[in-house]
Amino acid sequence: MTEQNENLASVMHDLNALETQLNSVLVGQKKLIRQLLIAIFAGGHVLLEGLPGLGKTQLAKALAKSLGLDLGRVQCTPDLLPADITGSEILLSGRQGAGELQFRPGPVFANLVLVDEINRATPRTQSALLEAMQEGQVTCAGKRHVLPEPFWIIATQNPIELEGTYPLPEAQLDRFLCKLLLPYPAADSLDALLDTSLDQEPVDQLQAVCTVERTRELRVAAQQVLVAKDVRAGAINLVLATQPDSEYSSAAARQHIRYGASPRALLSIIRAARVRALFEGRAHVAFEDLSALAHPVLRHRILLHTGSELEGHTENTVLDQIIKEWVQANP
Amino acid sequence: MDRSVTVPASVSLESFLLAVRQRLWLIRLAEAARTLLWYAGFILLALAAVHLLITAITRSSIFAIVGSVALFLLLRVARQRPSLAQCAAHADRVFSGHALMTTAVECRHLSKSASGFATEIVLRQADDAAKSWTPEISQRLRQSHASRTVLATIPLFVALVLLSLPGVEKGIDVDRVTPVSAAQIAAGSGEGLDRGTGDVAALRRIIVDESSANARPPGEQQSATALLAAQSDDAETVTELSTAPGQSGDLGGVAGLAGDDGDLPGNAIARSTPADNSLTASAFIQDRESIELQRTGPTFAAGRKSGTDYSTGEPWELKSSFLIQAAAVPESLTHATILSRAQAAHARLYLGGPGKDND
Repeated sequence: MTEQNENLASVMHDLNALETQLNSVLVGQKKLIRQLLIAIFAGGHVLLEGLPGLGKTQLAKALAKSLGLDLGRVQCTPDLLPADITGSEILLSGRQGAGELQFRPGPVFANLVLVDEINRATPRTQSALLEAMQEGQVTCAGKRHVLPEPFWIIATQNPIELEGTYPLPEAQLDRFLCKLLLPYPAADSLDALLDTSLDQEPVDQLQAVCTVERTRELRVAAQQVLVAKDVRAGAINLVLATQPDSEYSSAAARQHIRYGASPRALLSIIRAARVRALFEGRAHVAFEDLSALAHPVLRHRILLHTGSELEGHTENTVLDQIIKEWVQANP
Repeated sequence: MDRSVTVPASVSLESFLLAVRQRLWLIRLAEAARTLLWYAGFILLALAAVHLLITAITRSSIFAIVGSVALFLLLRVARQRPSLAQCAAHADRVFSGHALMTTAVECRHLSKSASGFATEIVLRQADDAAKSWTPEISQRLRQSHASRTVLATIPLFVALVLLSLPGVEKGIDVDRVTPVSAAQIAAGSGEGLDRGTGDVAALRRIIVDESSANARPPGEQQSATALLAAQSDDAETVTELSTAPGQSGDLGGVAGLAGDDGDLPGNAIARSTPADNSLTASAFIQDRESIELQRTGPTFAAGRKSGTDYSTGEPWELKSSFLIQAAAVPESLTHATILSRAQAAHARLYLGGPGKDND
């Protein structure tokens, strides 16, 4: 086995070990965990949507612990202020009695930040996360404060509670690489859950699988995965297929979508596809990677017509049609 | 990560891609042949329509047109040589390669400057895959195109049927044409006619449909039955008529008819219906009246004449129209002459050469 093959094998080994550990904590959610890890190693932020009690917070905690990362947590409420997230300058008394302003970092200064129930925060507070998510920094009192590297945000939201919530604006949604839906676990998974979590907290038992340094290496490895021109063209076509005004738009997009996916979606799906290829033991991206990741990467980036929503169409059903057309064009 | 990459020699990959290219080329050639069959079918249909309705088309021109299309398709296939990238993409589709070959082909060119572990891995994986896939190339590629072969038989069948039609016509033995008796014609349905192909060949070249007009002299209107019956003994063969004086030998198109026993010319009807080989003829005949025909279309000739009946003084008008199979029409068809019984034993319609009086 050559050195390069050993590299790939070790990358796959670490990724699989991480996946196995998370599967032991959150049973019955293998697909979700795979997608979460893909988003993390693609360097993107994740929006988790699911009903209460499905283990969103536990998953974030388990991920931070498995990766050996610092975990920051923000519980969003309507009275939460931006400074509560980013941090603020406070006045400290100096040795000679003179006051001195000192920046006290908020919970966003961590490798992995869990923003729980993000849609309960006011738009002003939500927008405080924009700079952090996109640029990896926060600005306070005119001073720029760089966030630690690596930096991820996992935000959760509850889809059923609408009263007292503020839906995330499109600009902020676009900054999440993936929007993952947490379904109810199946019956056998619930049985396994009783075994693992009835009398103990499985997260407490976890050991770190990777170090921060190894996490960075895995991200670098993902960046080296090759993307052929045909596959790139396929990704471009897929993104353009969601845009109703594009010449490549699909029939479903023209019928149901008001605004399609952005160029950032294209970057996101390619980055995610690279990581998925590593999970599959490949050093190159295939068309299958793109179609497998189209839902989590694109579902929160398209906006449907109100009429289509009233007819019962959802982002997922429309994407199903778009992907079906796209797969036929890219066999 | 090691930034320097030693790209392995991928002989298997190269030979695999070349083999795919060869097969792909053959497949494209087969597709061109199938396309040619479809085109040939449509071209033959179109030419048949032109041949029947507009103008005669020789067999050599048919071959020239179809040959030109074939040449064009062949040149197009020859020019569109599949690139290695196309071969790789095709192989990925056929072998479910997950874009491995496509990526490998790109890596191959970028390998010297490429960095990272992925390049070497992809090339090695592609090389291994090429080794295992090479024996299956023929089978897999054939399977991927198998369904189209059935479709290809459709134009082939159509083309063969169309191509066989001229052969059937050519196979008609004109010399075997038998005389048409007036009694047989008098039966109206033409059942008495020889149903051999010779009659059909000779007679279907011209359909004489003479619709004598409203002004036909009543005294002269005799049925074709009577007229032709009277001439049954003298009935000439169609072959004789078709090679009547002034006509070229390959000119078909004669409808034989006869006058009556008296001085007055009579009516005769000549009509050929290829479907049942029947023949009836009709012409209003005055003494030595001839009708000059004008070509009214590529397959039609028509004549019209009017006068006053010398015995009754009533006006008469004769209209004749000829529907002529395009292949039998000489370029210079201009005349038909009607002879009255006073001049000859038969009234005949001749179609002849340019400016000739074919009586």
